[in-house]
Amino acid sequence: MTSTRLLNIYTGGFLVFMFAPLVLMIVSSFNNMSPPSVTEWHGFTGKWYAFFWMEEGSLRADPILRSLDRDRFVGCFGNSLFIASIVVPLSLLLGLSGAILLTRWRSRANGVLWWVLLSPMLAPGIVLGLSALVFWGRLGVNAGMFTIVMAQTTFIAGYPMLILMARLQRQPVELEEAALDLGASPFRVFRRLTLPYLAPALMSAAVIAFMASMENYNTTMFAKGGACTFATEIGAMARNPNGHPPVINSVGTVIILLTVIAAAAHTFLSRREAKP
Amino acid sequence: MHGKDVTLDGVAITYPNGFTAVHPTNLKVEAGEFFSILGPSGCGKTTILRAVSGFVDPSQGKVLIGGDDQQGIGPNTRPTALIFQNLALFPLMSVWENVAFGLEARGASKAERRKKALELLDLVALRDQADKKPQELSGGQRQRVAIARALAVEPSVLLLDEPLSALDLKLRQHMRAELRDIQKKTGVTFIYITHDQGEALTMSDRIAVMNAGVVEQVGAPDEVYNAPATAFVASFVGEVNQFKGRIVEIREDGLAVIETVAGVLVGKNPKGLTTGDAAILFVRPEQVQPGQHLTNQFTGQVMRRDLEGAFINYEITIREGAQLVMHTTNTGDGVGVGAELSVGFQGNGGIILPEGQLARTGRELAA
Amino acid sequence: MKSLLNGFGRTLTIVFFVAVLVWGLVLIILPQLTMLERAATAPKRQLDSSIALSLRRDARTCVSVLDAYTVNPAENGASNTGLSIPSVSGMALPSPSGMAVPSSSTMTGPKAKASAEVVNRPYILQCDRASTHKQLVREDSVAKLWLDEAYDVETLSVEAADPIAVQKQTAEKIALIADDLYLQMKQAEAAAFPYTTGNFGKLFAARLIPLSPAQKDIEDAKLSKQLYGLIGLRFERDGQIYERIGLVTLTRTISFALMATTLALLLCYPVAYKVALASTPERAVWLFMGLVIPYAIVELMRVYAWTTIVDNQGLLNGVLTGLGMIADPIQFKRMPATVFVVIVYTYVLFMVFPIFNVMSTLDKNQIEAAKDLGASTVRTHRRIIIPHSKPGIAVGCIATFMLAAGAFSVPRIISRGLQSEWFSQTIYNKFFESENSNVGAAYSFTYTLVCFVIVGLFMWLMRTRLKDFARVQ
Repeated sequence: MTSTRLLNIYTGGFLVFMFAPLVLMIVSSFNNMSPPSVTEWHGFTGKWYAFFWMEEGSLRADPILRSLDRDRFVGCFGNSLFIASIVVPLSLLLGLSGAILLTRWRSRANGVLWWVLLSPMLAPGIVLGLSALVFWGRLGVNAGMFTIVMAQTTFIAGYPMLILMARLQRQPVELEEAALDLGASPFRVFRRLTLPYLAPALMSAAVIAFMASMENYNTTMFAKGGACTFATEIGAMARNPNGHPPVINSVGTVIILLTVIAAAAHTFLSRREAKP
Repeated sequence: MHGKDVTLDGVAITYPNGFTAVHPTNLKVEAGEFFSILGPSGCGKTTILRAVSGFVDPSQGKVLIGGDDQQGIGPNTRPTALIFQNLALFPLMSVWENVAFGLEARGASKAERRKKALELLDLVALRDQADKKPQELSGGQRQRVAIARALAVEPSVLLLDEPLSALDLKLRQHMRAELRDIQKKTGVTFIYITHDQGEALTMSDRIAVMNAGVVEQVGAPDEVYNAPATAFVASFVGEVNQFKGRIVEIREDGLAVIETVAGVLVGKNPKGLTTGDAAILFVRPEQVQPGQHLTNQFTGQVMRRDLEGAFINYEITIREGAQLVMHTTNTGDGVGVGAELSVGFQGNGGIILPEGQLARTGRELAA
Repeated sequence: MKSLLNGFGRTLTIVFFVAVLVWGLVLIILPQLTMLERAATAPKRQLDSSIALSLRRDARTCVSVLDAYTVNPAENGASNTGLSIPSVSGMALPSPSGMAVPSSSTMTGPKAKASAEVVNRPYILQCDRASTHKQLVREDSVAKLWLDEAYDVETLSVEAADPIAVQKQTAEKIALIADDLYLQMKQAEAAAFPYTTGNFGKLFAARLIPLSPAQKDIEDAKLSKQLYGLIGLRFERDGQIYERIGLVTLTRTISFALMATTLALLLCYPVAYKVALASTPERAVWLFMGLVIPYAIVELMRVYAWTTIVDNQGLLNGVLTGLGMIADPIQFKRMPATVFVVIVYTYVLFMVFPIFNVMSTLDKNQIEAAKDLGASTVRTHRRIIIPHSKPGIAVGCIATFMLAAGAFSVPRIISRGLQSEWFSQTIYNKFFESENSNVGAAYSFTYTLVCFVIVGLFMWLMRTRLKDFARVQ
């Protein structure tokens, strides 16, 4: 009995450890004080959120907010979306191809292919960013959005690959053979059987690839050249040694909120699916 | 629908890893025949089936269907349809879409497909389940969907890879009759793979018994059961008592005398063995009977008695290290364990075959 | 190959192969090879030919500046101050190539000033630098090597005291010599083996650490410094302390990463066990969500959230000051332990999920059977649960280790440059701050290699195969 209680207390403690910094971040996003603090309460405010939509005039009037470059921030966020919109489909294509070759290609090259395709997921993120920078630089491409896309795709494609592979391994080969035997062309088999079968996995792979692309900092920092993304911009703001207005806290709070909603929706949906 | 004949002309199959699954084999399956290939797992029977359906290319020899060489023709264009052991129903399609899939691949319109699918579902008595998903059906129903799906492409040859093995006993027995019926109704050639001799014996027109990549015997069920051609066939098909020994005499009446641990025994000699040959005498438990004055006569003690309802199985020790199994009809006056019993079998009840590889017994399989 | 063709048809098979080829070659292998090439190439400006080239450039610029001066001395004289310190390229110098005047100054200021006072022309940087007695860059910079001596050419320099015409002549002569030397060297360098391990050697290079005796005593007493001494990363010569800075940072990073991994494993195992095996399904769903949410939140935000705690005006300092325990805020961001804790916090969940995923495939009946047969809790874990979860533990350890060792965001944001670098930061600085990408590439390559060797060793010890990654995810 006591060991069970101990385990419960420990698990609770672990969750507190995981959530405490997030809660503090949320609390300070409503504190009318810059840099963010939870120990000194200067009154409740929503202006760190309103920053993103308040009028130019009132923005300039605020002594703290006027020092921030809103357009740049929005621009960097747009860059991130643009990058993700290329990285995600590209990663799905590469990941799917890799998954199919690794699961269905019986060949001696298989072992080598495993190592090559999984190595970016094992390598430190910064190395991928650097090698993309150096490689494309040598081909005459300057660091920027393009190198970010290339560097991110290198390792992000591994996530869809692993997810799809797990699913492909669970699909009996007989299904495809049965369809072929019934006279379907390989392409039809792929379209009618394999893709629909993979659809849920492709969806979750796309979500994971999107999040990985949006949040990536380590690789992007090295490949970005003069470009900026959402993550590097947040990083730059957070690094400010004098502390930074709690605008980042408000962004973080929104992200946390979205994550909680998504996680809850996912849990709810998968539970409903499990109960037929 | 018309069945076509299937010919294996010297077909041998070796896998890339060097394992020879099928040694050179000649086999002819007649059009419209219910043909079974019977053998223990790993004997190469599934490989032959995959060679006929086109998933495996023979390393040597040719596969002919209706007289046409199938070399270079893929599984999707052969006049065959395969029913998989796990049925391989498409989980994301409804029952009727499963059945109509082959027609879809052939470019039929949706209305046409649905109509044909419902007809076939009628044939297997599943019309009311057409819009369900395969997972929602029972085992027997899924079985019938797989058959309807295979028949939808109007194959000349239907290949069945142990499709009943996942079902429970009662259902399996029912499905045997149903498969047999469908085969009669459609006239399609059935090639049925199984390791269950009961299935093979009850359904087939002819049976091929395979062991270790070699077809040991081809014949009608009675022939295979009553006149096995090799030691393996005798030991694999049905239950049998076996006594290893050496031929000591060839008698005038064509029977042979063999000396074994159970004594000197007399049996048929279909292979024309001569004195001194190493051989095995096989005798079916139902050939063994209680009584006196039989050609091969023993007295022994009942070690075990299993009541199987209509039958009683006795295991009798007839000599140090020699047991005899006897099946008798249950007439209500059987003896119990420990009783002394006079038993034996007639000279033409046993069959003497050259020594060879035997099928593994239950005890060996369990080891 | 045949099964692929049969299964997917020719078009799709080609698409798959091309995609994987592009991924493998263009995105993975070729970039790494380029990095290796970059790492094995001596930095450009260190080559003797580059020195000859810059000498030629200086001499020619000197000539053309002198030209301009002789054509219009009065005007130039008027703007004397303007010319006296020729700095950046903003000035319209009639240089033949129109190239910017190099602004980096290896030259000596006072000497230039001294000569400028004597002569009949203003001080011209390029003329001052136009001397064949130029120092060459060598790895072992103990003995100085000079261009004129090493290549046996005339020792010439533009003397400000000479008449302008003589100066021009000398400069032209120097330009010719330099040009000649440059072509010679270029040829020799092209013929020579272009690769060197010098950049990798930089990692091992020892650097003098200037310390006062008092500081030295403090430093010597530190355990970490003693350990460095033990493995040869720190040594004393002639009473001075030397450290192999690159290697020290690498060792420190890897050891921190290993410690973080161990701590994460210890923290996670009970949690994974609780969620996977010791909860009712109803509760497990909630606990699982409690783990997924922090896991799914943008990594940077989780790192940033800590600044609220460790800042000078942060929670910890606020509480401690409030309790009257301290007067001045503690500089948490200067403490390595802070980076360590935040790294564990950020990457700990990469340990939980692999273990959880494998653990939850364990048939709970096995645990009950073991208990039924009289096994204690410890024995059940040791004999049933841990062996079953081994692939998950291995994958979790590898993932956490690689993330921790490769961490960049955490030390960058938390420490804000106020404490010893993480190795990833060293590489960043080599590339983007000191612009020595060849050495940076060598560092980065070594870094990857060291990490892979550690992971490889670990996989071998744990009997893990790469395929476990696919199973565990």
